[in-house]
Amino acid sequence: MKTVAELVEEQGVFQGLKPEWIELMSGCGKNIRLEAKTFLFREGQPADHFYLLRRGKVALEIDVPGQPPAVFQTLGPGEVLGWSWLFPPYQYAYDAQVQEELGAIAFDGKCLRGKCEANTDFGYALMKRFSKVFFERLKATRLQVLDIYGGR
Amino acid sequence: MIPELVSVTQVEKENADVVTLTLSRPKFHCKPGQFNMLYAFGKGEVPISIADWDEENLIHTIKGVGPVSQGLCELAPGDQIGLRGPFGRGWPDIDGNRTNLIIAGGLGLAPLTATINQLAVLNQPENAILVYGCRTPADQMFQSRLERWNKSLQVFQTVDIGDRKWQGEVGNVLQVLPRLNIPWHNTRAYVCGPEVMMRFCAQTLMELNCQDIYLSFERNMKCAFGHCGHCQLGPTFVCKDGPVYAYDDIRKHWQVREL
Repeated sequence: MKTVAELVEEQGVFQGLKPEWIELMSGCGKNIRLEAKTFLFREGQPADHFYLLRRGKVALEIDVPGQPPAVFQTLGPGEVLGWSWLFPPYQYAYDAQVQEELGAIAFDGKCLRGKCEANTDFGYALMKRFSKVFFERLKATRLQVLDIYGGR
Repeated sequence: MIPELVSVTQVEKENADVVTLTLSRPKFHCKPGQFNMLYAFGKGEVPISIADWDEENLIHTIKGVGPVSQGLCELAPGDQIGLRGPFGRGWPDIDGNRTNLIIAGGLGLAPLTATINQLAVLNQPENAILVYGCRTPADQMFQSRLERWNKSLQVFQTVDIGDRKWQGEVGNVLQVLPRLNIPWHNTRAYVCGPEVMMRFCAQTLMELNCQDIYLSFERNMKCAFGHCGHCQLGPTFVCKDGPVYAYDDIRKHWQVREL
């Protein structure tokens, strides 16, 4: 059975991180498994964790009063879920429901924030990788917002 | 130059404003990616991509966005229209030694139908992938074909806004591409959809190290054979030098705004 460090190392988003930093990060992580239809987290809950998805699918939803929830994104293997752990007030901004049985590594946000503060080189390397993910998601989200299929 | 008369034999409603017309036109020879000029009597003529064809029939999928295209969408079996074509440069032939990646957005799936059907015949799902993006689940087209294609291609459907009943992906097609586990350096991409989608797709494909990219363009086309100049794109005419272009050939002109 693979260790958390080995699982982290396999994921593209963290490739190139020094081995000692992989170990440092993995100290805050644990393997989890969730059934379909389970909520990983809900809007307003404390953002204690972020997740590195290994298998399965998660749907991100926003509750719309008087209407069914709007699903605005799905995430799958190799993707990172959860950013609210990075910034106060550390609360999840939306709901995340498991669509297909999920295998993931859950990282303790407070633990990792502490390690980033204590070792800023590690923190910078991590933030560089997260920033690239933000950038790509924002690019795709902007196209979603444009409603390009609607015709202009 | 002169339209020929063809009859509508079947009308299939794909969604709220998209219709697939089957026209009786035996022995029509064309290539995937080409287009015809369809003439709706009393309304006018518009360029419509050829979705597919066989020995007896020709198939076009049309979205009603203006008076002519809406007129075509209102046709019934037995009605007649004028047809000129085929025109333009189509998709390159399928290469069975590469991974063939089809990326379609909205109505962009229609001009890729014949190519996808060819890939389905090869039945090599490890080398044939379709990524299809739409606004919402209700806007999806070609449901029965997608189910059929799912048997011999890897099909990824994604919508901009989903709901809990939707089992596909939610997000732009750009978000699906990096998840594909394919040999990007040996992949040929066929892309058709809104131009802004195609532009960002081409950039993302290049970043993933896919260099072999073909795109299908649309411009106002009138004569359809490179004389009137309406469809000029830089030094090219979309009706004659396109609508399918290799990304390398069109990239420089595409970067010029308002061209």
